[in-house]
Amino acid sequence: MNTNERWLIEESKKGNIDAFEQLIKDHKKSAFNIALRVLRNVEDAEDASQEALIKVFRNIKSFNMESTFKVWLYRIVVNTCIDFKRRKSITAISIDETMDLGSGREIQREITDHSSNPDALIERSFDKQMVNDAINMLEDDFKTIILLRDIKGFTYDEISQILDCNLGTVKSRLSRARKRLKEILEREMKADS
Amino acid sequence: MKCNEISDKLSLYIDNELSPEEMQQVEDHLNSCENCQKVLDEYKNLISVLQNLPEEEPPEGYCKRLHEKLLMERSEKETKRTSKIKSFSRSKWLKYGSIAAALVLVLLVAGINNLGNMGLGMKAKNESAYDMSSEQAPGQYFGGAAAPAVPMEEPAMPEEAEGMAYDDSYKYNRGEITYQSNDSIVTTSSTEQREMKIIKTGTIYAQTEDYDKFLSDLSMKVSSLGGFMESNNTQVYQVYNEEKLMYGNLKIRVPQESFYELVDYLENTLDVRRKNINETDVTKEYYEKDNKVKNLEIQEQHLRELFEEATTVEEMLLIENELRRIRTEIDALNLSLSDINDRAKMSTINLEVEEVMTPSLTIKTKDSLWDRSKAGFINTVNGIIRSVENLIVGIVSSSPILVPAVIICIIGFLKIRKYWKKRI
Repeated sequence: MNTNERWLIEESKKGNIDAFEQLIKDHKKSAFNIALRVLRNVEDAEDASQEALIKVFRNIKSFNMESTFKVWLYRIVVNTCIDFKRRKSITAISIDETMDLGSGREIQREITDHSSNPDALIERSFDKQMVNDAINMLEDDFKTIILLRDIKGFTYDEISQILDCNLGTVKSRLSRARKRLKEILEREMKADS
Repeated sequence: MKCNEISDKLSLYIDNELSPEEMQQVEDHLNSCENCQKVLDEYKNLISVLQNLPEEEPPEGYCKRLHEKLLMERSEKETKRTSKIKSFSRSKWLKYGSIAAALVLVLLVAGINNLGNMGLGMKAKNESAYDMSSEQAPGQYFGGAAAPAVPMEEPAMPEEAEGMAYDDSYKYNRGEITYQSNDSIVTTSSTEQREMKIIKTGTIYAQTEDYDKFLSDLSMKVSSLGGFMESNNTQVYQVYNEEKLMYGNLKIRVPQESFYELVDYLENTLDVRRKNINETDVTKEYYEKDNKVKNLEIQEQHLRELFEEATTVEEMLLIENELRRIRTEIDALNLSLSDINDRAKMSTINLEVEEVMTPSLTIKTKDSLWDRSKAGFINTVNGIIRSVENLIVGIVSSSPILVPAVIICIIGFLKIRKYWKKRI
């Protein structure tokens, strides 16, 4: 944590809004994007991310520099977005789930077959749009961990702090999330071709 | 190592989160397995795509709206802070409230230990106050009695002199008030001394074993006291085993100074079942009437003078009429005055005497519904009081455990709250 950030935090604690805005300047966009990934709706994403940032401002006094500010902020953002989604009981996740429930088993078997199939050895490159769609199809837990690790580039240790779980959970969850994402992509690609 | 085991580790391999041994194993496998190498490349490709995913720009006005919300939040914060200064915040209430409660409990324990002594102390205080008042009271009257000895040359203060004379007629004797009639006129002052006019009446219901003996004894006693029996109504009310049981309704008049002597005598010789003694102070009434009489007499005197000067028959008739009216009034007043005088001088005792076989021959009546319910009610109330006392005793006796427990609970509660707050 550099001295500038430290100073901005101290100022924010005094209620200096300009300092706080400066402090979150680099994170605003990320917060909005995380919210957008979770909620998949621009208005909700704005509401949720702003709610999270207000929460950060409101509670900045209780920020005790134990973790980095970034980690602390993202923890609030992730939790707020998940809460927001639960509150609004957005049906997006349930659509995914019904999809999985309906044909999940079949897909899995198909994919397993696929990987052992010599045809699958041909290297596939994933384009951005496909990956984007595939992320949206992930379960929330997987989605957030992919967001944090692969998009935002947090370390395993930071992720464990943000998600408030131990390192082992982070490792296994991330591993499963990536596998799941790849499966979705392969399924989609097969469906296309 | 098999392919599926390796594929589980690829994710960690990419992120360099494997132990050196595992790293080596995976690398060895990858070198020999083309398939797994492909999968690894796919993962790497996927991750690089993810890393380069463009971020969506927040909608227009996002920053402005956020700024407004922040301003709102700050003003709310400030109002909260000012209200915090004005009044305690909830958590502070909790904190100080619990400390206060703990203190009260501790004080309660200490207080209850001393309560017994305190109670005694208060009682002693009360007693001393009582003693003081009973000591002081006669003193006051003695002071009052001494006062008339001071020569009063001016008759300008009749009120005061009267008050003192009033005090003079009081005599304290073991808390009982006896009045001594004092007919002498105080010579130190020109004002007449007021005599207390107290009418004493007593109603006594009593039982005796031998009515005839009692009656003759009573007559002797009454006449020795200077009183008389105003009426005697005696009758046979029951014949029991050929023995006549008598019932008497007597009205006895005795000089007022002997009133209590007679009451005592009756209480000693009879089995008194009911006693009712009444003292009515008619001093004020008496002197009001007395003054009225005096005024009327002056008026009468005046009229008489006028009468002598009267010249016409009409005048004479008018004055005579008036004189007659005044005389009638004076007579009526004098009559009531003498009646008061008589009643004040001679006290009355209404005595009901019943002859019985044994003095305490009374049938014990069964308790009425009311009595029983009253007793039950009192029992219940006593029970409640006792259980409340027991509860208090229980709480107080367990307070050495209770107080720390309460404090620990409160601290724990606060800690948990704080922890949750921290979690947001």
